[in-house]
Amino acid sequence: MTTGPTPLSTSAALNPSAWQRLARAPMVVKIAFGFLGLIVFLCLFGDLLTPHAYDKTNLRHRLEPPVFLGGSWDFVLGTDRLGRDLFARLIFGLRVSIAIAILGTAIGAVLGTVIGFLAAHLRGWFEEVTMMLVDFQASLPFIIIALCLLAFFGNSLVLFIVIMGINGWEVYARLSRGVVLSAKAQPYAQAVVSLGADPWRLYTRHVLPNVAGVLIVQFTLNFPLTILLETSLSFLGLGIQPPNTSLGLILGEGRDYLINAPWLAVAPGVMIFLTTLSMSLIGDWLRDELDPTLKRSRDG
Amino acid sequence: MSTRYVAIKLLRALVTLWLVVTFVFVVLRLTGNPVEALLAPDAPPEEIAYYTERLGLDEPIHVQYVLYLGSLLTGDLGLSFFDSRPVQQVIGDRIPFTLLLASTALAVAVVVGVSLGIVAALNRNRLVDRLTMAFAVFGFAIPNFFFGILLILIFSLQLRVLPSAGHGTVLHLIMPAATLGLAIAGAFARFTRSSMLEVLNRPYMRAAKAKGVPYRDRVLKHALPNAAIPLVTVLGFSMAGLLAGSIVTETVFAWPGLGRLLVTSVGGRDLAVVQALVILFAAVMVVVNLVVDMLYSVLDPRIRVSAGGEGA
Repeated sequence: MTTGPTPLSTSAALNPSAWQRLARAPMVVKIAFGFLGLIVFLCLFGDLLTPHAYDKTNLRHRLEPPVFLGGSWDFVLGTDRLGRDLFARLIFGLRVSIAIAILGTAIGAVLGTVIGFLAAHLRGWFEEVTMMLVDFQASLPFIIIALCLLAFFGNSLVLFIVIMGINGWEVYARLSRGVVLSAKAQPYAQAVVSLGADPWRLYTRHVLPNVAGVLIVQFTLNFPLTILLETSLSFLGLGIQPPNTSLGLILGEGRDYLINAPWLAVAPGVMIFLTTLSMSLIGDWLRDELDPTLKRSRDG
Repeated sequence: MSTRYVAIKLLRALVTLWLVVTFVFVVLRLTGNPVEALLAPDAPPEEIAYYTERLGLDEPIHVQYVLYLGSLLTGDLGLSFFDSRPVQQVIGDRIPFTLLLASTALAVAVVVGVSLGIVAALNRNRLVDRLTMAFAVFGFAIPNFFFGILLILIFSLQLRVLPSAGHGTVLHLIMPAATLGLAIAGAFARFTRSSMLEVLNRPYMRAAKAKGVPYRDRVLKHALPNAAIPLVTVLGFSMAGLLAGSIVTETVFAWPGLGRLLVTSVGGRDLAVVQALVILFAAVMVVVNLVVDMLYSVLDPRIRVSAGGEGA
């Protein structure tokens, strides 16, 4: 978030007291932020913590247990069926999962926001078609559409990322169309227009900063859903393909070794769970902080 | 219920269904010749020619589209190239398993979720309330493939009390149903709680208390029926959760239902089956949403007056 001369923007409202707000946040939210910090650290510097490469096989050290289950410090979290270091694989898988989730969520956010703005600006048939597509996508669990596309086109990394992007667009389209329509009716927007601003300037300089808060909150709420979709598909063997790997694929591979090496499934599962959990907690908290009107009636 | 309201809802449902069917048609044509995609890769040319003609793929695209719609309406969905049986048979074999699993999961989730929600609302901000809300968040955030695997680790491999895969007995049903129902139970707990909290403060609740209605009756006969109305919407999106969840859950527990069939068909690119399953799932969702809308407006007359309400 950049600080600009936008007195009404949520970023300005957040910035002066961001730390104070965080200090007032519930304990779980602080822990969630802490865990997310750890995830970011692991993504950036995790490979410096292990001497092993994620794809280096070592057949003399197959299925070694983690150090706390009697293994050696050579392989802190143990090894998989090919003797590959689980810790190194987790770091790599985490990077892939997080990168795809960020990319997918961002594609969906940009695509949906642009379409939503266009729908609110153009109205007419464009808006009708957009809303029809939004209804269509909202009416079907997205994993089914994703599976359908993967079956028809065959799996590829590009298609997979595109699918992650299509996943979230409809929420942004509906949301941004709604906020733009109401923002356009606000006096400040009408004032800017009557001063001679063209639509582009109105939307990018005046409306967008004012709705950014809502869209950012939506980003944090969509992010864990994208991770869940990616890991589910990869777990099923229909997402990320070997020799590449992701948290979901590591878990899917570990499923075959539950009896002899349960850590192969538990470790990536815990990573996925804690990542989605902390993102959802932060998203819920941000939503309540930034926009009290959106607050779910969780307190009645 | 006004006929206009019903007509609009019905029309929307049909449009959605038509979009799904068209989506499948367009996407399948985008991949090239659907016959080559629908048949085995080593299909002899005469077989390809036969199906090209039979499916009318030598016709112009708009004629193809009409033929495609016609074949869907008559229930002719093609052949699965795994076992060369008609797709409707392949799917029909699996339907009872998914119905059994999904209905068990839904029933358990509703009973557990609603009870937890009521108890949480009555003990607002106390420990039991906090624990219930933690359970709801947990149920939402834990991926069901991981939860299923944890259950297998605990109950099949450590305690050795439940079978880890397969079907046939009630014991086989317990873990898949728990996995599939967890997130839905959490959603029901959360919505029941907030809905109950809203109702408990209403004047008629005070009136009931003043009248001397016993606590138990006030909660179960006065508050709950009113609080339950918004839960109909939760029922609607629970169906989406059940369908999506069945795909993963059935794979984890080797449960021979539709979800597992979809995964194996996508993996093996058995496109005739994939196409039929996607349309079937969409039809189920459309019907469920329609029923939920209708039910909602029957239960709560205010909806009919202002049809724009967002629900819970």
